[in-house]
Amino acid sequence: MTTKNDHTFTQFDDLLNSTVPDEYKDLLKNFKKQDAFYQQFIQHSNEQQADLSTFWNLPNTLGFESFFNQQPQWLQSFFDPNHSSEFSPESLTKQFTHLLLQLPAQAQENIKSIQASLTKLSALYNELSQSAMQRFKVLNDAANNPSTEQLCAHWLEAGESAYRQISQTDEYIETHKTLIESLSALKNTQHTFSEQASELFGLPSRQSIQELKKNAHKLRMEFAEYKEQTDSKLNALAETIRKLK
Amino acid sequence: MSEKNNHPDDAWQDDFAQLIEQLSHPSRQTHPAVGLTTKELIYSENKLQLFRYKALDIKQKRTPILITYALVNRPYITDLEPDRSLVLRLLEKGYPVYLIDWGYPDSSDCFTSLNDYINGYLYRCVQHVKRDAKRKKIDLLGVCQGGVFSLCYTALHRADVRKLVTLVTPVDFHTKDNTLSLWTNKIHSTLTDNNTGNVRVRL
Repeated sequence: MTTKNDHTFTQFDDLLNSTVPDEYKDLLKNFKKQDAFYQQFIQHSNEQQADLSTFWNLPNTLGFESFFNQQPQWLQSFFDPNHSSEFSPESLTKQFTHLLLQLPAQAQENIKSIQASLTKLSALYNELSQSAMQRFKVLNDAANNPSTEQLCAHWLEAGESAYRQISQTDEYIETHKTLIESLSALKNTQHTFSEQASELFGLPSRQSIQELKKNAHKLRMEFAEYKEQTDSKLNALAETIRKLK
Repeated sequence: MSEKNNHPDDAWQDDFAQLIEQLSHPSRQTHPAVGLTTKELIYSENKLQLFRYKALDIKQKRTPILITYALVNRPYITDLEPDRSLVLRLLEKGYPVYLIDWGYPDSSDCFTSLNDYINGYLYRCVQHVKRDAKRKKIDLLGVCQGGVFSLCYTALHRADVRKLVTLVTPVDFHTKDNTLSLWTNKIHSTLTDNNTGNVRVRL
């Protein structure tokens, strides 16, 4: 980094602690995260460490999520749709166990299938990280003394090409399919369970509310259609009258 | 910034410095003004709004252009600012310009089908534009998902469309290397059959 930009980085740090609006601050924090990630990557790369594969732990690095955060967000959202765990000290494992005890046997089958898919996906992601690391080495060896920026570009290229290849293999697609379908099946089991509970307590079911919404939508569309036909006829009439005059 | 970085790899530093410089001055932290070309609301339905842009004082072309944007993006992208405005460039060429803003879809839209969007909302917008411009045909300009809607509309209502223009519009969803297509084609429809009608935000 050139000296003339030192002023910019001082300004950057000042801004993070200033009263700059939150939307800008979030942007700056993202820059900071990216900076931390790249700094760490460049340092490891320059030290020629043997295993750089963790830097392509894509589910955690894409989008520059904290790269040591091992808990995929989509998994979090499944057990915690309202993100209450962000404010709760209870670990995901505890929530999982709690849920497991509550759900009927049918759901437990879904959960087993989800676990199996996650294990497979995890193995595939490890394979992906190794593949990306190999690709990175090839790119770096081909470049003569790569600059810092080139190193970062190689990181991206290696990760993207490895992901492109693995995400299109039959094994990945099949695992992904099983995972999504098992999640959906589990959601539907939960849904049936809550509908039965609503019925038990004499509460309106989600189904009945959905029916109401559906009919309201149908009515709205029919009204708009009727209005369009009326407008069209009025317009044609006005045109005829204009010609007659 | 006193001088520019000449090395291509360092070019981003100038942009970064410019951003920080801008943010460091509270007076420059205003929200960017977008979509400022003068327009008038001529039709609305539920969350949808159909606008007609004010024509410039030049000779007008006859056939109007209806810009159909995507559901998930904001249509002011077509009218960012005077120097970067597709709408303004079209107005400068004398085209009567109309634009559909679909609004922000919410849970009440879970029953809105493709048929509703194409043969319902878009159909009615096209009819309004035809009547407003007093033309039997219009030109449709679809952007992104709006392009997909426009393609379907043109196939179904050819008599309404003189010219179809699509920008950044996916047409063939089954190409060999389309990851999303490969993934979704294998998934059973239980994915969408989730009793609420909406595909979940987080899968």
